[in-house]
Amino acid sequence: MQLKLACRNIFRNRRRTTLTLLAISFGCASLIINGGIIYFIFRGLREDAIHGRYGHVQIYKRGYIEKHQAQPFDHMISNAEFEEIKLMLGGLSHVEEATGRLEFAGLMSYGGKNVSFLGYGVEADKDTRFNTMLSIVEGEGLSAQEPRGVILGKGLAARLQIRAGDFATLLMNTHDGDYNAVDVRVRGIFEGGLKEFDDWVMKIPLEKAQELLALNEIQSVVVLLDKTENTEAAKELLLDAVARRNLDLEMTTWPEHALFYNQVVSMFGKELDVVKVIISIIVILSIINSLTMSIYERTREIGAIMAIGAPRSKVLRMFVLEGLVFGVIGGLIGVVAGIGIGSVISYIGIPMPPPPASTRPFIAQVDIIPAVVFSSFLIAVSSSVLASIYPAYRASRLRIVDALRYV
Amino acid sequence: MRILMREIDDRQSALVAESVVSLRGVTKIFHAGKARVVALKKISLEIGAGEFAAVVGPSGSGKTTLLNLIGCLDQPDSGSIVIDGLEVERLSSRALASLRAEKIGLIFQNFNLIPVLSVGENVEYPLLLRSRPPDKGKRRWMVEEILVELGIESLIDRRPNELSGGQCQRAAIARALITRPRIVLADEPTSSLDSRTGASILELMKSLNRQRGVTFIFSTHDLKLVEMADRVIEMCDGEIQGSLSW
Ligand SMILES: Nc1ncnc2c1ncn2[C@@H]1O[C@H](COP(=O)(O)OP(=O)(O)OP(=O)(O)O)[C@@H](O)[C@H]1O
Ligand SMILES: [Mg+2]
Repeated sequence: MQLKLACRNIFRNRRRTTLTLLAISFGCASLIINGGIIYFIFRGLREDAIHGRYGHVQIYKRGYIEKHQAQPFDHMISNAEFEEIKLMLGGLSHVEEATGRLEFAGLMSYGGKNVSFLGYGVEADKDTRFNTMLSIVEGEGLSAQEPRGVILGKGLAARLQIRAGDFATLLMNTHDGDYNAVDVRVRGIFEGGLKEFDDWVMKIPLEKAQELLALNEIQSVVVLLDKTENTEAAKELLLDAVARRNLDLEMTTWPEHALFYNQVVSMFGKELDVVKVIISIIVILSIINSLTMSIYERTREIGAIMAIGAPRSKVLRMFVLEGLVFGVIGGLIGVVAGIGIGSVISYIGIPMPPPPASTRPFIAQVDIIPAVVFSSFLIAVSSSVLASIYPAYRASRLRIVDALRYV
Repeated sequence: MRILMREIDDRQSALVAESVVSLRGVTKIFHAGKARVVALKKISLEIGAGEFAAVVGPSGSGKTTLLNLIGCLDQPDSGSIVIDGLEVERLSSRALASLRAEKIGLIFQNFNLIPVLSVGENVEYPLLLRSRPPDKGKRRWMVEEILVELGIESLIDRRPNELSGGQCQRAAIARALITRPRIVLADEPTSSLDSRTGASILELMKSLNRQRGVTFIFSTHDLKLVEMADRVIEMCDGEIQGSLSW
């Protein structure tokens, strides 16, 4: 009966109720859509970091993580160990691919200019699969057929004013201190999305890199998984397998490298909170307005129900229940609208400028995240209930005789 | 028509076999801005079980104020009110609400039915306010019974705005009686109705009074209706001028 009464009372004034529900559902839907776009950007940055640079899991020789800044070539994985690791990975679930990497620094000279670079020795035939987020903007990608063919980040190429097809000279220290120089051909120029990366990185086939550095080792094995969500589970499996095989290895996962991603997440997380507060205030104001007007119009009726024996607490609960019903109906409409509009937006796509520190514009979509949908609904409901308390209290404090005389 | 008055003093009224309403020295003062209106001046009154009493008097004489105090809708500034053995001033707001729910039925001039509820639901509503509401089936049965008794069973699913004034007031009477209260208070129950409908409403109230022994106290301006009362309390300027019973 109470619920029936609340629902019917709400729909007494259709126009006002429609407006109030519109405000609540609009708020709820915009939380879902706003959150969805931000989560889409998060996902983009995350996958960018994973499929453009770091992979999901990185395996190193024990000691590398701590010491590699000072002694980059002291803790290395030998080619033999690399083979064993590949064997081990082959039998693990979630693991899709693995590749070896070797990082080094050097100078690149072209046309009288010397520019320092960060070299990535990568397995040429696997690189494109590991770097789906990396696009070749000029020329073509690495090839095992051309060991001397390298690709450069867009920023690095610009600094050298070099183009695909040109030859350049690399100059670097071997791991034991000698100098080594070699001519390479620029096969292509890539854009990875992160400006810092594009400004510094040159990729070169792994065997060539080992030859240049006079090494038979690699620094890391980068692992790609079926899904990013499985990172922690896969890491557990990997640690287990490593222990069983008695390998002297350690590992990291992508969040430890994707510092930029972490910063963006914490910053936009705050922004999401601000939006939540704003939306709550809108919901609260519209509910207060609606219930206050409704109480005003129903003064005599409230007097009558108290006169026939309803205690004040019942009147209070009656209006809080109306707030709750407002919140639930508005929230449900908002959830449906948010998911619906979000899907349409995803289908059409919103062209967006490059996100912070990125070089590429992108087409935004709306990720429908269950937790976001749920929290948006919860915000709609809790703000509505919260907002109803004050008007409900006022209604419950009316003097019966005055309320009955009210015209 | 002239009504013969007979003063009844406190001693006599105390003789009333079983009094359900007892007022002693009740004063009610209103403050409207700076003005101070003494709406009731040291009123003493006893009303016995099963009486059918009319409160009459000119406008502003204090009829509504008196009925509100008896109905525990308001508190006196001084004096004591005892309703069915309970001293009202000692009761908390919650206890007063429950007293109203259990012992008092109210009928209003403008019906005050809840517009979003059907007649059946309006009549059922007070049952839900009792400290131990009967179960759904019992409630349904009680509602049907009283609607049949008042001849409005066909209106059970209608909303108040689909009813005539007389039908509304019948529904309101059903709502007032469903909890089988000791006392039913009606402040000008007929003045929103035409005189024939008003008379039939009052006849209905009187027959309920006779059949069920419920105490009725109603106020009215209509002297024809006063004839139906078996006691008339005449008020003037916040005082009881006379009380006539036969
Ligand atoms: N809430 C109030 N504030 C101020 N004065 C009031 C209030 N209620 C009643 N009064 C005053 O108390 C006096 C008695 O009023 P009451 O309503 O009891 O008269 P009544 O006999 O019912 O009149 P009517 O026949 O017009 O209904 C009047 O002078 C009225 O102005
Ligand atoms: Mg009056």
